[in-house]
Amino acid sequence: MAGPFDVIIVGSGAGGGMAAYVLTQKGLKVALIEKGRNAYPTLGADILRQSLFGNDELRRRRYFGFHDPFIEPRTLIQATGGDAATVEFQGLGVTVGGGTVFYDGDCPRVQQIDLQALTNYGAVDGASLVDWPIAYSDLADHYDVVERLIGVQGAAGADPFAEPRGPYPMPPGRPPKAAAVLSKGAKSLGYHPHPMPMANNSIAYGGRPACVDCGFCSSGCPIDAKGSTAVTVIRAAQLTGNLTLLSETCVTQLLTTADGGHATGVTVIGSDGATQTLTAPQIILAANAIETPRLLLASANAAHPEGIGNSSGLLGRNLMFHTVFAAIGVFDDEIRSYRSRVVTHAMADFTVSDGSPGYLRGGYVELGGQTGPIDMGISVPRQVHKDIMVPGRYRRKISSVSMMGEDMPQLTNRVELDPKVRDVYGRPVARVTYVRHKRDQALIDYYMPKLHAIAVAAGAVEVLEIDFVAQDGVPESKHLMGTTRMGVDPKASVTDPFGRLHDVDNVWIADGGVYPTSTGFNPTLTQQALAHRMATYLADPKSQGRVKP
Amino acid sequence: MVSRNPWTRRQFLGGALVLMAAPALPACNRAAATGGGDAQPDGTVGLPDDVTATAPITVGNWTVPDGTFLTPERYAMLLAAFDALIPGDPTSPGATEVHAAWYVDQLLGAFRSDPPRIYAGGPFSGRHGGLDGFSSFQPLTRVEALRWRTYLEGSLGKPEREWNGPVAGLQAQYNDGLDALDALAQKSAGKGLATLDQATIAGLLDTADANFVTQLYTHVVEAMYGDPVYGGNFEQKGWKLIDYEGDRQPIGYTARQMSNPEEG
Repeated sequence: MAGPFDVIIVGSGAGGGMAAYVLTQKGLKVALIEKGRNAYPTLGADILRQSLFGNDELRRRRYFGFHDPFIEPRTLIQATGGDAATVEFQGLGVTVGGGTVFYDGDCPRVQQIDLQALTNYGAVDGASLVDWPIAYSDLADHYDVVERLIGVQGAAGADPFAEPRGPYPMPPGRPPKAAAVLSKGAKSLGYHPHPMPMANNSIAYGGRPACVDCGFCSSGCPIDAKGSTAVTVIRAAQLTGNLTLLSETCVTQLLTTADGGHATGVTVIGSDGATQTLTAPQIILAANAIETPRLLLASANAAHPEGIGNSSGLLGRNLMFHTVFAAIGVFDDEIRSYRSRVVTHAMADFTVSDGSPGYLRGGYVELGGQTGPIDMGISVPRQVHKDIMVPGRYRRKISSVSMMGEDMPQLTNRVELDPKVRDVYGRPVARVTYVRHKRDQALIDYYMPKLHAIAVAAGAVEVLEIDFVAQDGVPESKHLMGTTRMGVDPKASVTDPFGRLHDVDNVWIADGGVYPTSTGFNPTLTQQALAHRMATYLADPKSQGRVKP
Repeated sequence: MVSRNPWTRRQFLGGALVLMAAPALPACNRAAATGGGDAQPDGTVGLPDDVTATAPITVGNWTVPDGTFLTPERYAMLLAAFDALIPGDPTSPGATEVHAAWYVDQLLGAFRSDPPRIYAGGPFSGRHGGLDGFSSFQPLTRVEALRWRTYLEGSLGKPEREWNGPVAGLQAQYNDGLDALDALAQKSAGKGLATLDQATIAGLLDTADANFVTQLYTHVVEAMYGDPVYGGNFEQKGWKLIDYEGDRQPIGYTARQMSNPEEG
């Protein structure tokens, strides 16, 4: 493989892809390492042709381009003192583009208040709340740039609770019936539904076509209308000639100098199965908030006996997923919510106090959602399969109102290495402990009736209330945050306010791990803005060593 | 090792609500759902037309081609078990009509083709314009090949397949599971599985190994609603049954189809 490299990036998802873009634009030679395959055969060619993804639920169920628990299991502890069980949870894309290949494309920004959780909530028993070391104003310019790079549709001013902003790069896309029905219900209750800001082309943009609303966002976009980092910034990085994209390559170790103060490179298993070492002056880890701490813990050495970057003891702790719950409306009329990109509308009313005594700050509310027929069919008891599947009442005539509730950071919710279970590369797998905080449960108790009321106001004749953790015990948000918390104090955080490890002067984190608290909004856009900010700082020689605030 | 599927949170919605809703449903018409006794499929039911049967073997009421991965006897057992799980009739196709057993046989024997029939190609099926890319299955990466060989064939004592110890492959699970079901049929009904009527088999499945029955059900559902390129959902009968359009690229939906789904 080509070298030498100025920067090695581990992981090509939201943060890693965005960092690769910034650095290669600045002329730096970057190795972007991705464990999964590259499903875009022409990603670096003059003309981007369509991907290897398709409208295909089976390809997806067979983990094409996705975290595959057969080769990379995870174990989960769900109760204090409980045993770890091998279960499938919180998998993200494992392919060039990472999670941004499969996500809905939801791209809300946070509010300033999201970054002041301790100030806002005060001390909460059992929660390790802090304020972020940065302000919304530190992110605003980066949000603007990222939205243009990946192509975000939206309607500026439609969300009265959002921070002030300029126009979106493109207007909102076509609304499906679910959006019209649910928005009407929400408006009748005085709420402010608006088009979800999302990285899906509503018009041809960036050399990519407009979305045709096939409804298979979660299988990977076959026509590249979704603004994954793969088809936007990683492609742009490749076109500079400064990027070496190493797919099917797994990083097994982060290497440091003997004194531990400086990283020297990474050990990888390449696509041919051979092990080798790559070196570079700067190393960015963007493997996600479970996989990055897993790598740092597995890279423990004499200078870092408890894992690299863990002098605070906080590495892997404060894992957050969001508290996600929903009221699903069943309607008399056809809805067919699968005829659309996944979620098209949202509302932020619950993120701002309504003045009620006992108010708890809620999260962003998504209006809409969909399911695939295989996924649904398997969940139907076999004895009543056709009775449920054929009439379609619970398949074609439903839509959901769901909240991305802010979950409390807790020191005990964490990522460790499993002492027994190994992955296909021979590495110890991630063992996750996640126990819901009582404030998270209170959030559900407080808001579920409000979500239910929106569904009823929209005309639902039946409403099903779903708590995604209680349903089967496994948190399933796909929002991974918090395990390498950023902060000013090296004793109280893992990275500095730009994402650099306090303990190692050339290792940076560019995934959701740096989130000090989880905020009430979908995290992907903010992760990209944080990565853009970090990489801009890293690439500017004048700013080396200057750390805000 | 793992039973959960990989879909996103939002795509859990459907399944979740059904789990909650099912107990509240009125008693379902079990007798109607399981059909009225021995359906007698014709000689080629359960096989796609384009399978070349160089030496067809007739087992019971079914003809299977030379070249199925499962033995003809087990293939016939699988047809019978699937037929009891999702029965069909002339107006409502079931497992047999969508070629569910063939779907499983294609998966079990995926590596008899090169590339193996695991991941269809992209980006379109060709049914709605564009070229048919699905039919060209994708070559597997090194790790994907190791994964699928281990999953299907088992670890077979090969060290590179035992990253977490020995693995019993899906092929062995099917062979053993079908043989056990057949033995159960012999024991409780005095006849082989493939010759029993739907209602009797449905009863057997309630007492059989729950893990194997769950595996069977998962696969028969995949065969009902998966893309036809994988061997099931013959002539899109599964999609038509539930009034579902299936894949839509590259045309997608019009604004009118999105906003007025009641128009069809």
